[in-house]
Amino acid sequence: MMNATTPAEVALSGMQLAKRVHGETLLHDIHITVMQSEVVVITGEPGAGKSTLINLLGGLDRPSAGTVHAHGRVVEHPNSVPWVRARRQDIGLLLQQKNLMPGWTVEEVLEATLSNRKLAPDAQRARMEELLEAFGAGHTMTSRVGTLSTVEQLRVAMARAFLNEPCVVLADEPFGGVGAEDAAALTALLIAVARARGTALVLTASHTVPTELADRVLELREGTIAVQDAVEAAVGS
Amino acid sequence: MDLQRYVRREMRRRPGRTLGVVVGYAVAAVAIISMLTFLTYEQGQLSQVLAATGTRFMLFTPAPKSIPYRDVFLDTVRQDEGLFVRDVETSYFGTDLMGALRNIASVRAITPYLLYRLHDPHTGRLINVGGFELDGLDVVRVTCCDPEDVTDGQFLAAGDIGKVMLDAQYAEDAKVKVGETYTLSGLSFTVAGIVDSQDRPARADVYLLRQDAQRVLASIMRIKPGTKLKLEVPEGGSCADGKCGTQPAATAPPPPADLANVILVRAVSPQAVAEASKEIKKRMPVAVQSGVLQELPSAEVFDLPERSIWALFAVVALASMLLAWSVQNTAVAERRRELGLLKAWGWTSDRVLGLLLAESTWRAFLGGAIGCAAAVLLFTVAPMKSLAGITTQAVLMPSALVLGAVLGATVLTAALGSFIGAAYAAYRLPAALLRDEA
Repeated sequence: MMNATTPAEVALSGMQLAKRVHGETLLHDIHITVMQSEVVVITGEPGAGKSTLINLLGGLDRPSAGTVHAHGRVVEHPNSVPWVRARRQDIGLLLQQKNLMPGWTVEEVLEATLSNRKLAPDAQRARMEELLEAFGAGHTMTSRVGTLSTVEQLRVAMARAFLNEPCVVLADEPFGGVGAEDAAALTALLIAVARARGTALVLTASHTVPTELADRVLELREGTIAVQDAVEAAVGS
Repeated sequence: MDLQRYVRREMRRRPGRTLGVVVGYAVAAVAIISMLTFLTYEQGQLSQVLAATGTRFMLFTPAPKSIPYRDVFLDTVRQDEGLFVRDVETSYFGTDLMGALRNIASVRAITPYLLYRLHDPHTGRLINVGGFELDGLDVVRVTCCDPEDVTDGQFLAAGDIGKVMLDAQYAEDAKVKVGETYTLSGLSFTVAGIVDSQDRPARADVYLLRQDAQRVLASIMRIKPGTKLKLEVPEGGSCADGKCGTQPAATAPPPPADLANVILVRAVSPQAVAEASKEIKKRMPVAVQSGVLQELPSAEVFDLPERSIWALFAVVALASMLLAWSVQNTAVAERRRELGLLKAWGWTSDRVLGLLLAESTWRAFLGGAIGCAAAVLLFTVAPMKSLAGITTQAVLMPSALVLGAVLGATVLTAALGSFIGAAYAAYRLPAALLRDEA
């Protein structure tokens, strides 16, 4: 388990986060800090608030209360410039389903992600190829997303999430649509690449995850963090 | 990667929608261009006619009960002869008045005119004699006789003293031809030309230069031109010397050497007729009363085609906006997830908005451009004039102005119409976009 001590080592944090929708409380009193290069797994039953939390941490949604700090910067409204910049530079997102445009080619998807960065075409191409290779999808560059298998699409989606060299990747149950064996392999691959690149990773999962690969495991129950470190709790028990 | 590349890709990815929308805009553009072309054609033709007829009018002063020249020459002038405009007997004025009237801004051309009637020994009936000045040909041609209306011989030219032109109908009745000698009130003239003076307001049976017309008038009155006359002052005042106002009868001025009883006026535009008339009357407040204003009703309808065009344009703009709004809403509804992903990937709201607007305006531009080309082709190939029952000679073809306006309006209205839907989608939270579709 990693214990952050200096702000410079914090990749992402949420303080007193709450989310209420139509009077219903989805999240409340969430305090979470993700250190650089840390792998955090968030578990919980469906409806516990995992996706809501990822949305808030990833700047896709606006918290009802609390603040999010991305790479040391306070970010507020999801459409504000700091949040857009954070999504562009600091945060990689891997969502539950349909992470990619089915009608686009893999190359177009990756280009659209990199279009916000001013990279030379050669450097851009090299980075795209490197990441696709890293996730075992090197052969898909010119393929249309809709023609790829689910696993291949997930490999491309993972590559895309790392494309901007973010300091943290937020993955919201990305492998729910594949079998347990594939999910475990893809999870291991995701964590391995994150560790290799020194990128922090927050991964939510409702099913059993190989928690031994994580630095820290949090459990969400009824919209709040019930167990701060499930790994230690599990080991302790 | 710039937005245009995304736009081109999107149009290729959804060829059915792209084609449908482009064709929709193209068909609308053809329809609108056709209607505008007919309307502008009609306006152009009407404008030409009104430029000649809707701007012309004449002013004269109805004579008071005590008619000056009758008081003096009653024994030599028959009651139904004299300075008549149609059946209204008029007073006269000196042509030196004209200088002040020529500077009126709403007046394009103005000229004095001498119009009277007398018994014609050739036909035994009353005929009208008109004396004009060639300096005022610009207004003469639209109020009494036009050189283009000469059916035989020539139009009167400078120095044509002793020559007359005859109205075609009168010449036929009087059995007089070009080159023959024509006698009027005992004076002999050579017939220089025959004109078809149509139904112009100051038309006459016999036309002379005003100098000759005054000579004939003097002969009827049995006076010589330039004779000093003592006249009664018309009730309410006189403008005989160009100074309007009441004057005692005993001090009434003599008639000017150069006299006329009608002012022929051509305003700068049909809309300026009323203003020109008002300005002239201001300078001749008493003696010159409301004369015969011709063609004013047609001047008033002059604006109708233009108003129709603008109304049509507004309807088209609204229809285009509704089309764009509908298309954009459908597109946005289908692509919420896509837009949400783009925002999750770091696209700004403005960039997403720009993408949606660019797609919409490009489709509209393509549709409008194809519509313009199709309209030109249609008017080139199809017998549109025959189909519309138009028999005039002028070419019927969409003007560059109409084509440009329709193309511009198509693009602009597409942008405006799609803006609300695009902005609504672009500025939503990414999570909301992803959630709606998922």
